[in-house]
Amino acid sequence: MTDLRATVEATGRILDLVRGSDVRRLVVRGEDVTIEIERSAPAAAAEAPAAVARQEEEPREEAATAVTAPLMGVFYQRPAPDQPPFVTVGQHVEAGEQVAIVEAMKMMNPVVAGRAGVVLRVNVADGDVVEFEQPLMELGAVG
Amino acid sequence: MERLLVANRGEIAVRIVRACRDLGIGSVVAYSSADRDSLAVRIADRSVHIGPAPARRSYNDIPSLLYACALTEADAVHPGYGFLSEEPLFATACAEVGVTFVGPSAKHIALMGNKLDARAAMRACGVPVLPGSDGPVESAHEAAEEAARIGYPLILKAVAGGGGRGMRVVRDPGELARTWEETRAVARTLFRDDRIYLERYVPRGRHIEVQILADSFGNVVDLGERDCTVQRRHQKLAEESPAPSLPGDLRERLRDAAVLGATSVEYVSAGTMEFLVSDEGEPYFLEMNTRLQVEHPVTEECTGIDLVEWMIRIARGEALPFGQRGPDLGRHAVEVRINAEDVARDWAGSTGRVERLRLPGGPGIRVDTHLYEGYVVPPFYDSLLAKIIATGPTREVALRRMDRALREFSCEGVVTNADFHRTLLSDEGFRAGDYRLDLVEDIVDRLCTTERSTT
Repeated sequence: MTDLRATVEATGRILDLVRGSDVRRLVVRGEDVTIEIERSAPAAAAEAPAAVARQEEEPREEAATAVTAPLMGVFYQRPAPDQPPFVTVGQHVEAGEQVAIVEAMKMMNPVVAGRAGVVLRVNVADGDVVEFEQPLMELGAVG
Repeated sequence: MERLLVANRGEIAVRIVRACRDLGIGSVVAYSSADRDSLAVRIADRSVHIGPAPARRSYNDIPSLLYACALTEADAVHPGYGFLSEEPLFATACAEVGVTFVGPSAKHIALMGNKLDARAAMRACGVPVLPGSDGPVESAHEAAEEAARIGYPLILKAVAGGGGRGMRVVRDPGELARTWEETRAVARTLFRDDRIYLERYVPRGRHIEVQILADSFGNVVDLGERDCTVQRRHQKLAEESPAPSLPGDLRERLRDAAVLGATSVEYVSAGTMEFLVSDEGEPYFLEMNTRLQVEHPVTEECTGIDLVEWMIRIARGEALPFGQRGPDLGRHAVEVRINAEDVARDWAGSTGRVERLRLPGGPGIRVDTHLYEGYVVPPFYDSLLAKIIATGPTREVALRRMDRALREFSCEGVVTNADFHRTLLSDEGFRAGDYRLDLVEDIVDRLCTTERSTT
């Protein structure tokens, strides 16, 4: 546990160093510990980057649920280029709410949240080609 | 060409990844949810999850495959066999987005995909075809008129059919009207095209095909024939080359006809001309397969030519360095298809987890398979698990080696047809190299009789 605490503290210092930079993802792997830091879409999300510390043996927090791609195609966060995104990080969504689009052959296929939750992060950028069932965003517990 | 996407699964996906490695080309395997742990996925440079298990939304979904090319920057696609390999739309779509389709042009796929057009094209250049109706028959009445002209027995075939699907034999005029309706209904379901034509049926024929390679400079090379007479319900079970005991100059006539047919339509890529050879030794063109065949290793073992490699090299514009008659190493090769089929339960497909696997080896044995211990055979696709190819200086040696390989082969956890192949090898007619299309049926009948008399 002391190792874990030390690592968390070290990670906090690394976080301070990268805050305000354009670092999108940082992974620190120890022997039995993995720490990931990810700054998703910095322009849209100015809030503190999500920091997740977990011990591989016993996950201590409720796992986030991924919203996955319903088919292979191009990912879009907004209904049209001049419109705001369906959701932003930190936003609460209801089960069944549309959160993105995957376009295939000019067909706009809605991506819907499988459960209610808070958008923790968006994993892909607008215009990226995504695979079938690729995790597009992470939803955390409500409240 | 730097990176090739494999738009297929199973053993042929493994085979194509290996060809990419040998050529120094990157490989990407497109896979469905049912194949995420497949051998091809494991050995490829990269893999892309294109869709769920049903082929309609994965291996047969053109947009997903093209997005997969875009995502992985693949500049070529090999379609393997089955799935989209003979879909002209796929070849066209690849061309439109600037991806090299490793296969023939959409024009040739479409020509040979329409069995009536293929017949007409072959007849026009002097390749023998069976007597039949020149167009689709529009009514039961017209079918009866054509049938009277052609004579019985005859076979009803779907214009869009092929690969043994969408055809029915009619033995007497009384059956014609009903069989015509049934074949139409099947064709409508299978191919969304219910046009039917008639052809004379050759009862005790042999199925012999000729492998060709053609480049974009007009060179057509014939790589010899394969005897694919060991079939059950039009599905091949074993193949060998050269074809045993062909009368007179039939071998040369078949090979010449194949080259003539491919040359006259200006075909490019690997292709197979299938012929039916009558009991009297007359060859008739059946169809041309515009793709890599399952049984291609038989030809590879006899010629020393890597067919997958040459398909890729032709697609990137290389010329064939062989004469019209391709190399011949003077060997005999035979292949058996190990399928997940329960012969005792009327060849029903089986699935399951491969608990223990022992693959044969040693001199003259090649195994093309995607099996490994722990692999789960999914229920969604065809039943082919492995191909065992035995090669030797003579047919006798090749068959003996095959028997050795089948004794060594074991796959616990999944029911296979491996035992049937040992029965086939012990069959007198097969051993003598004198067998017809009714061979498998005969063997199965005899097996049933033995079972009944011993119980």
